[in-house]
Amino acid sequence: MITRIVKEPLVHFLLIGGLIFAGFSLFDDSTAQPDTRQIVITQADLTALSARFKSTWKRAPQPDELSAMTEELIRDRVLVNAALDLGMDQNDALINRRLRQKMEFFAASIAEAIEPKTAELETFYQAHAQDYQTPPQFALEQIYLGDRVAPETATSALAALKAGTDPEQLRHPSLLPKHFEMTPLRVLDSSFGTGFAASLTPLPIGEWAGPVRSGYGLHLVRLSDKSPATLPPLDQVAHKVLPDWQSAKRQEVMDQYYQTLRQGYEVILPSPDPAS
Amino acid sequence: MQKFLFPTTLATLLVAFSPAASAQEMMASEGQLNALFPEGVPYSPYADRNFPERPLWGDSHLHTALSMDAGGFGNRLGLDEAYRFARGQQVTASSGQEVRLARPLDWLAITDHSDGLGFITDILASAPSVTQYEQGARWAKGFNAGGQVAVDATLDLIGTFSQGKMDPDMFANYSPGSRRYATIWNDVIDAAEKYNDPGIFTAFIGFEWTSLVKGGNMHRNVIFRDNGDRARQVVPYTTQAPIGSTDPLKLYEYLENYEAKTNGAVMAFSHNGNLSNGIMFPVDAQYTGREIDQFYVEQRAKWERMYEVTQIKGDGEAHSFLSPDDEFADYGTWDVGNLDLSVAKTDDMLAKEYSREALKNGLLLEEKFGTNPYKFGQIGSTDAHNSLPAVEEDNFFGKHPGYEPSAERLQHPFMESENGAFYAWQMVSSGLAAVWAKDNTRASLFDAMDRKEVYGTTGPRMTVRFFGGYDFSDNDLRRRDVAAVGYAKGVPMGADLGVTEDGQSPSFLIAALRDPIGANLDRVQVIKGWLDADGATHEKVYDVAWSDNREIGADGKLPAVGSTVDVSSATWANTIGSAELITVWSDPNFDADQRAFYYVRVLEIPTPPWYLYDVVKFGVDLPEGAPTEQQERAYTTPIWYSPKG
Repeated sequence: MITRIVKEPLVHFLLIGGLIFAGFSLFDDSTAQPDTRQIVITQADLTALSARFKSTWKRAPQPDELSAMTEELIRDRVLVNAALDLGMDQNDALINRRLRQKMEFFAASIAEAIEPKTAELETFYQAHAQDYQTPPQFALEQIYLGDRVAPETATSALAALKAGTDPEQLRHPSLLPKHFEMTPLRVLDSSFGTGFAASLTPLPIGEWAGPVRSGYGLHLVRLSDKSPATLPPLDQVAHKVLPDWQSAKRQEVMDQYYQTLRQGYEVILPSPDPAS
Repeated sequence: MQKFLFPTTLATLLVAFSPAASAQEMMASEGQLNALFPEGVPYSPYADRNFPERPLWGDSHLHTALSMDAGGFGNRLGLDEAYRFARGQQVTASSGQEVRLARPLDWLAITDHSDGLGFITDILASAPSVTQYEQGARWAKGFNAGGQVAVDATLDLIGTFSQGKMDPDMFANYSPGSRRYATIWNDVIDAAEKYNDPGIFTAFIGFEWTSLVKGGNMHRNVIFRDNGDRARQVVPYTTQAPIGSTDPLKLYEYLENYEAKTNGAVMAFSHNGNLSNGIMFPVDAQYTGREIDQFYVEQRAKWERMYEVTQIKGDGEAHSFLSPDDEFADYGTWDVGNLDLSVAKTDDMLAKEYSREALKNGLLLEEKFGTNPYKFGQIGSTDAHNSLPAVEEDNFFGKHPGYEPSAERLQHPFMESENGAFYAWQMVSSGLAAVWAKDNTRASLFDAMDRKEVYGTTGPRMTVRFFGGYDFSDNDLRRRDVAAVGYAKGVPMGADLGVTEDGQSPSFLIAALRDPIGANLDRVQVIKGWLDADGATHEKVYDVAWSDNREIGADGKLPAVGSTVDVSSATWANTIGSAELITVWSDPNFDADQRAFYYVRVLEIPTPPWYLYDVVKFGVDLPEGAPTEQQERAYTTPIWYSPKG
């Protein structure tokens, strides 16, 4: 029995911990800090314990349950205090991360309390207009001329079309739709290949024009309508703008807060290694 | 008040019990109705158009850092990055490289593993629900330390989980019933709601149910038709007892309960039968030993509406052992063992693993039980674990962050055990799902999937139309208005052919258009499967349309299209093949008394596989045994035929 206890890693840990603690107090010549030797449990602590119990069990704790929880709280405080005395919080990646998160949450909560002024939101929305634009759209009719067509053939086909030739006579049979009602740029690109829709922008409305190159070959195109990228008024997209503004604001506040704190420190970097 | 109520109730009762009135309030004369339904069709071919004009491209199977294995393998991209990437924006991959799709997707279903959902991301964030446990604190510290320490922590975590030694209290936080699990599921839904943009981009709410039985893959993806208001009323179904189960019948119960509780709609679809070691498509008995019966076939048919035929972990359409006469059967075949390579593959397992064989066995089971359990839509998906559905051959970002582009990625095997190995070059840069939905919305896409009007490709976006009926003729080809004719005179992929009085042979209107920025087409094939009078299944592959005016050879085979692949530069040219192929085909061997299905396979001309781009870009050696060209393809959902009676 005894040997088993002695072999238990936990026992080793406690023994070593005790030795370190003893050594630490022996050689620690700083003045005694009576605060850390005192565990003060307040009425507020007890109320919080009761509340937590209630949220789980939907009733108030019995006196013995409350005292067990209080005991647990004391144990928590004692061990945490002792650990802090031993410097166990130093260089712990987990604790560092947690503290950093707390600082960031702190800054973020300040940011979240800020309400944008209308002008401020308006400025933000104008500055990020491209995020809220509706894409350009085109309505068109197209004639596919084939994939190995000489540019001259395309030009003469266009001339014939303008002279009144029936489009069906020029059309190379194809599965591509002949007509598109108002269609966003990306949908046209997905049907004809990337870049097709962009090359429609300079074309006139209501006239046959081209040739325009797609992933399949050459086309003559007659636009019946087009709408450029338009920016809807702010009130229509406010539901998108506001969360974006908030997240930008949060980042801004956090950066400012960090810069303010950082100014309070002198940062010393290692001197550059002459060998490297 | 009471006084007024009484006569109303009485009137209702009288109407209900009077046979002439039945449940209607009004009667109509024929004259009144005729005016509502005028004869004839509109002159304008574009008026009253009510069919999809183009397929909507998406990935129904993607993992983010929330999935335990994805996060474990170093995926640091979450839901936001995954959606932004799918919508065509540039993101920084976990390996630090900038990446962007050549073209955005139209829709995406993020399907993170339901078991342990969000566990890894909480470890990385050192969340208290992890770090209050010894194991969790240890791993959190390890991951945050980076470098070799992080790698060791990952291996320790994976080892601990696979040996079942995870602290049950800690893991309970990442299982249904815990508050943390519910909030993670809420985050998943919030992200889908945020990026779902009807008409532009659809983000499905979904998850993957990761059933693994002795290393045999039984995974199913689950996607909801509904928005967050309904999906929030449940949490995902898992495989860990006591709440979860590895038995699909239990998953179907969950789906049934969801629909009953919310009045919503949900479906499941499986994948990687090729890694199931013979348990994905049972014919006699389930893996539990439970016999296949009417209940099983009905439940499976009801809930499993699609099957992912092709993805990064292998293509599962056909295997040359099962289809010796199909010269194109072995594309991206992974047939060494099960998912974790703990059990080697044997030939007898194959028949329960590949989709074509399942479609055939479905006819057999339908004959026996009256319902075909394997009447599924065929799609492709990526199953990528790095939040990046990047499966273009020249832009392949691999299965997980460990296989994102690098000069070394071809060197180490993807998986290896005493049973064999899957080599890195064998990852298939595949696939995508095409859905013939009219609108780009959750409801429209889901409904198209539900009626199985879908097809899958190994990555390229070729348009494939496939209609079956009894009235198609060669004249229908001239109009090139395939959809208008197809829907008017027949049924689309995923539907059933009716029967005719005289047992006429069906005809099929088939059209394929190559990817606008992809390779030309070599040929279109129809694959027929049928059940004969003796209860034996058969299959035949017909070449029905092809490029370059080739003639069928003396051996009855269509000669190969040739190749333009230049190995030294990883390029090809569209100087062979055809941009589109279109035909009307009728079955020359039709037997009106036999159950059958027909589906279309479209082959591209040969192009370089993704690793050839690696060889050129990184100047590394071509892996031993790796072919320098491949023919990418599309598989449609079948059209089925059932005899009368």
